[in-house]
Amino acid sequence: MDSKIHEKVKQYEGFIDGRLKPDLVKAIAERDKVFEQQKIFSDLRKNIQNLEKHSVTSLTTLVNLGSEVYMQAEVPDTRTIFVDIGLGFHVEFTWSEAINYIKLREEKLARQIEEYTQLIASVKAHIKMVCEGIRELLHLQAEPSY
Amino acid sequence: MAKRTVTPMASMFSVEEAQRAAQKMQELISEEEKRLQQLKDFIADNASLINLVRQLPDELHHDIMVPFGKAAFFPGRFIHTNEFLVLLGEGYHAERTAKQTIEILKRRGKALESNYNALKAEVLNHKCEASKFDDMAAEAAEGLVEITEEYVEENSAEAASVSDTPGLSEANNMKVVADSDDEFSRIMSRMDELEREELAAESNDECFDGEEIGNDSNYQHSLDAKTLEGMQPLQWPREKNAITKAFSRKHYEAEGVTHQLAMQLGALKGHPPPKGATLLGKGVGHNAAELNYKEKALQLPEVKEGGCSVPRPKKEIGVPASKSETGSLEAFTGSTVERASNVGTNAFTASIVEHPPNVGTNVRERATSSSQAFTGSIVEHSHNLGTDGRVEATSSSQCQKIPKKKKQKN
Repeated sequence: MDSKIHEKVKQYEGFIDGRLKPDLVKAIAERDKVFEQQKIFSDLRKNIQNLEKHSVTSLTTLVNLGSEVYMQAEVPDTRTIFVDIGLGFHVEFTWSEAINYIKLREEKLARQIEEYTQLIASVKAHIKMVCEGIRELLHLQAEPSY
Repeated sequence: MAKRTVTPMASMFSVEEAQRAAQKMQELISEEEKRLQQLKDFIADNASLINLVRQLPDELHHDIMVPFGKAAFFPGRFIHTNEFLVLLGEGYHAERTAKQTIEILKRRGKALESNYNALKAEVLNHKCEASKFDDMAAEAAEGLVEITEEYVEENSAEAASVSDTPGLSEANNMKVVADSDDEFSRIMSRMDELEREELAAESNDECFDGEEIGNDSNYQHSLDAKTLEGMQPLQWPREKNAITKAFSRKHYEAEGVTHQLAMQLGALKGHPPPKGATLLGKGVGHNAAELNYKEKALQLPEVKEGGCSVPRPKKEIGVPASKSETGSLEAFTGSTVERASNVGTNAFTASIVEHPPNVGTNVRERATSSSQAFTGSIVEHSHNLGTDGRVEATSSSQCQKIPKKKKQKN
């Protein structure tokens, strides 16, 4: 009798460690990537808004050539900007168009993040359920859930 | 007969452990190879950057797309194409020309290369270890056995123990040492006989302080304290006045030279050389002293006067000892000085050879003419011979004058 219980417990634990936990880790990683993208676009938007506010027409930047070796570069006309829309394409925008696009993009990213968050929550719930089952098998006190 | 023990290899290292060790090494190796690949990439990047920096100053301006964050570009141009801002680390940047930047990058590349090579050597090392573990596992798995056989000492002193595995080498060394000890005691007993014979034939005038110096490190390993006791009977009981005679001693390897000396001793005495063919300087020296005395009685007073001079420092002994001996009697005009620290442990430190220079020259001349194995000045000087009422008394009386002799216990 005891041995059967132990077997089941082992099985449940194995399921948790082998299946649920890696799922959780993967979901969290994907969500983080989307967070990053969201941040990039949000920064870009802020920058363009800045440019607009100060009516900056030209600017000089330092361009990283690799291994942190920089070279001066000049942007004579900042009115057009090429924005990455995905799948390797860049589209020439004016400032206002760019800001528009970025807004739409950000919304899409937020929706993606929401999906990932839900997935993560469900995986966590599964893990908790299996733990409870183990606890019952071992006749331990159930955790107060209120 | 030598007894053999058979031990299966598997009992020494278990198969699973060897396999696990091999596996661990493999994992380590794969990690290191990843790192190696990373370094390779860095080196490649560095090389391509050097190329780029070399080409950029060719134009005044370059039309480029200037990145704006990670997701946007501006059309623009490179300006100041000869000026580069290089990160030196810790938040410091340096503005450099193209040439200087290239030099910086080259130095970086060298550092990377050396890292890469070092890591490569490590990987090779680990690979060897892994293969070794694999072999061990295979051997243990297939039931290889280790056969150990005791080393039986032969008179020829060349008996080798039979062993099938390298694990026996240590046992071998022990055996060799033990054997040479046995051999030594045999030689000592033979020497005893010879000395007694000589004593009987000797005239009373002769006083001889015999000694050996075990300074030669070749002797060290075969001598130990117990044989020192065995040596005591060899000391000359005769003591009149300590006569120091100059001896020239050939440099000897433990076996080869002493064998030769033994031969000579045998020739001098008309006896066959003692079996085992190692002759301690003592016996030979004694013989030589005997002949010396008979031949050069006039020289003795000189020798005596010169006698208690300062013993040569040890390093002089080292130098002559390093000369190769073949038949030259001059190879070593033997001042062998007893090493203070070794007296207790060295079986042969009993004697100190003094070699006053004037005596030396005289002796040297004689040495060439004589056919003796040794010409040397020997002053016996051993405190561990202590209780024998022999030479110590005379030697001590003679040698007390000698400033550097510390070992006297008189």
